[in-house]
Amino acid sequence: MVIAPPRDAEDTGRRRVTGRPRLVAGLLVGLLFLLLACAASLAFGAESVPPGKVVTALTDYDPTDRDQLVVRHLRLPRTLSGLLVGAALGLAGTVMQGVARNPLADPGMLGINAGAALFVVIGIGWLGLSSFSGYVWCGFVGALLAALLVYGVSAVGREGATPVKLALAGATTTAALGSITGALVLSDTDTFDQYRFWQVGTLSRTADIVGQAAPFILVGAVGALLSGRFLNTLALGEDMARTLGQRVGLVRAMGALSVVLLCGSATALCGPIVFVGLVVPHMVRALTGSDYRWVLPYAAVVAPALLLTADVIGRLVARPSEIQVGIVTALLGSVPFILLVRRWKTAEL
Amino acid sequence: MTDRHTLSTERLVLAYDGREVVRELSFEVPPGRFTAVVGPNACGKSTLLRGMARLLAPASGAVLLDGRAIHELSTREVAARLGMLPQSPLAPEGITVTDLVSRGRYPHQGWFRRWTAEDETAVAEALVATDVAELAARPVDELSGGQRQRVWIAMALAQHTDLLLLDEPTTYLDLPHQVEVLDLLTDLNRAEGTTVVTVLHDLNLACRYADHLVAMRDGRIVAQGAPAEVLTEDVVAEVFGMGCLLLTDPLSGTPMVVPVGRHHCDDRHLPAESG
Amino acid sequence: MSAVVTERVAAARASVRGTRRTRQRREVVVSAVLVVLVAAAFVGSVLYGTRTVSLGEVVEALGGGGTRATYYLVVELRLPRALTGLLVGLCFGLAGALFQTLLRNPLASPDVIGISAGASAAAVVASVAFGLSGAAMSLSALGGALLAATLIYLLAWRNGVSGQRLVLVGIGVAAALTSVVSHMMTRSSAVVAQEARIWLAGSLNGRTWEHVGPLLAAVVLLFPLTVAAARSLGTLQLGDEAASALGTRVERSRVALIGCAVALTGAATAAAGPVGFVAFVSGPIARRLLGREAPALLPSALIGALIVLVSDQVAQHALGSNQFPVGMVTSIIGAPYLLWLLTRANRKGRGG
Repeated sequence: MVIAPPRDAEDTGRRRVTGRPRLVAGLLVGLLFLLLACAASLAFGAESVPPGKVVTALTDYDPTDRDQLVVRHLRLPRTLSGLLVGAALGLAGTVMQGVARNPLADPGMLGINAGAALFVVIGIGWLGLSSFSGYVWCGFVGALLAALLVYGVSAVGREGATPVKLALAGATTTAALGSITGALVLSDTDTFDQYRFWQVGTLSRTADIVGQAAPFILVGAVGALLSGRFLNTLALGEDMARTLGQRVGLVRAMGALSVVLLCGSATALCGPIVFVGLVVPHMVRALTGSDYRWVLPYAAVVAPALLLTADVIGRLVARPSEIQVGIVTALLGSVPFILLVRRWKTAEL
Repeated sequence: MTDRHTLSTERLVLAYDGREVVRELSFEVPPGRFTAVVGPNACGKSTLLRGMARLLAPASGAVLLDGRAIHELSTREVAARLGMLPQSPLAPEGITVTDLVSRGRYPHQGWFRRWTAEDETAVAEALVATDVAELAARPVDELSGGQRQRVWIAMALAQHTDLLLLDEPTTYLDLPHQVEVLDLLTDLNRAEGTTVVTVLHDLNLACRYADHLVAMRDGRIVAQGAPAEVLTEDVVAEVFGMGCLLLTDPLSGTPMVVPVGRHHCDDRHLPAESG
Repeated sequence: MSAVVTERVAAARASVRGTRRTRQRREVVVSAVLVVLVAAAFVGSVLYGTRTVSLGEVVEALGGGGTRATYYLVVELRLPRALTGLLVGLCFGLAGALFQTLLRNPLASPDVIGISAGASAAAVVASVAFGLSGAAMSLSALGGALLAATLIYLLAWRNGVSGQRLVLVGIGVAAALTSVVSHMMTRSSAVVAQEARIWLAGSLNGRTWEHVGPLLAAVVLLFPLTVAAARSLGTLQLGDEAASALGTRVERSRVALIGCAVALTGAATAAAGPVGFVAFVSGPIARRLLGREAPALLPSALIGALIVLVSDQVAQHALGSNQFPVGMVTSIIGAPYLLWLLTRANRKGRGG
């Protein structure tokens, strides 16, 4: 091991002192953005609702007012599901990138959402599960199996899971699982009709279902937020982490568990949404540096803000109809994804 | 061989993205000799070689093959006279030695002229010359690093050119394999009169094998000539920025460089600026 | 030359000749067997189905005789379907092998890197949003494939194109384009959406002579062009520098070959949608059959045709009462194969 010269240590120390207030301030700015995004999500849509009425709908609800009805019954649950799903995907992406030490890890790209989707469809179609709290477990199982498959396939062998292999295994799994899901819903026109809307990823869910999903996502989120210190050590490489006394297997398992909780319930709630979990951690790291203890909370704030913004964009560009949020994120998310890929040197791929 | 092909550069400037790497370099490759190009990392030696092989267009100046600007010749005309082995060529997965070496015959085949007895002989001779005939049916990816490098050289030989440029053919090889490859190149040079120009990392091996040594720094030639004549402690200091002790190689009588570091030095050999 | 050397050269010559002969013989045998299998699969898809017809009836129907029902079944339904399957398979197989060889990456087939997705997106937009059909839609699919290919190539370009960067950029572009197809499906009515599914999975259902025409024209035009351009494939495989040193005009050859491959993908996608993984698996299977690395273009094309024809029979008749799109079957077969390939590539410490 190389002993760092004292000058460097001083540097780090100084950065930490001045860095912390800056990071806290940044997080507060992020929260402000999140609040604005929530407000926009409540106010805008097929018809805009003036801000005053939005506030009234939340504080002093009058069921006879049509605008208030829309805000309270459609947009509020939608905004809440955006908050939950956004935070879930942002955190899941960050944890996955940390655990796999792979810049391309993303629940959508790696087929985890597709696995959850397939099992949810099986749960609804074959097992006759109709309540969210019933089929969400199918989502967990599907997410877990897909994660194991994709990671297992790409990690075999000497060089381990390189970004390309992981991405390909993910894209392949997504295609195959999507085909099976498609085959299952094909025979049933009604199911297909629902499925084609669900498979693109949409936030419009009833308050009831959002409420049922919330506890799962919250548990997963707490697990993810607590893992920052371990991810920091793991970032130095598996061998180094072991040398520093970390139980690598345990950390991996914990990470995987929270990812499965987050992705499974997010997908069961809103369908597969790609690129959010991939792009957000990279954006956040540009602000916070590589310390996962900061990356994680930032991701939990930035991801829902972006997801809600994408949802609002989808509602506004195609008024009076709308573009599902999954499509907006796939289209907009591909841009930073490609920029990321371009930035790497070939040797790193 | 009387009408040997000649290769030279004239005030050649080579650049990547507008950044000059080789600056106004004029250089004549001695025909029929073994030339080694040495210099620190990023001194432009590989770039010079790529420029001379027509893989990189000059920003200004020219590379002359038999007195004509190489970039005005067709790719095929160049390939018939000049062979080049890049630093890391790619062997397709599972390709056999025979097949890889056969691809060296590409410039000699045309739309209607496919595989002939002449191609067969050229490939066989290249396999024998590089001592890989026994490996002919083996897949290239199963060979050792030294064997693989010999196969690549065989491919370049099958091309039947009497100018052969090699970009660091000994990198990634261990010492015995480095010697093996350089011995092979010397054989070729002596037996066939092939003009060899190779970029080398190891100064001692370069001195031992080269008839003509070219030392570069910052895109310019600092010194060139027979190793024993050009290599002095001052030249090494100028090219590599490193003090050294110059001995005589007990086997070949060529100069041998012993580097001087901070922990192993006496005052005489510290570089001028720090001593 | 000394006698010893002459002798060694003679021995080496014999071994070179032997190696080449064995290889050529194997290629001929494999191709011949594949041709027979493809022919059998083709005849099989014309003969078998919910109602089996005899070869005699088929010949009769082709000559204009026989009952009207048989004529309709054979000439209007099964023949165009089988022909589309055959040609689509040939195109995808060839295009896949070209891409994989050119980009020196077994994973870089047009269905993985988003070329098919480009064709699909263009076709679905043309049909759902503009109500186009027939040749106009085929042309839009072709345009979509070309556009996607250009986009991916430009986006992946950074002092040259690395195979891996191109694959990753392609996956990103494919995700975005697939979402466009999904979106068009949510915009259409349920019935149209069922039909538009072809653009997500790839299907031979309801293919008519209208689909065969443009496809056949594309094959007749593109196959000879590809064969002509493929001469430089052997040196391009050795890397740009080595290829150039061997007298290949690298950029020109590559652009010509990629152009052919993209056009083949576009034409096939226009006819049957992005039949998943056919382009991807054909090349590797062909190489394994031949036991060598060289670009096995003809065998790859034949394997593509065989896969599509057999998968379509499975999709139509082997899975209960529903007729599934052929692309679903090929994806379900092809995806595990890709995953297996990834683990294998890993074990060798290469390939991705």
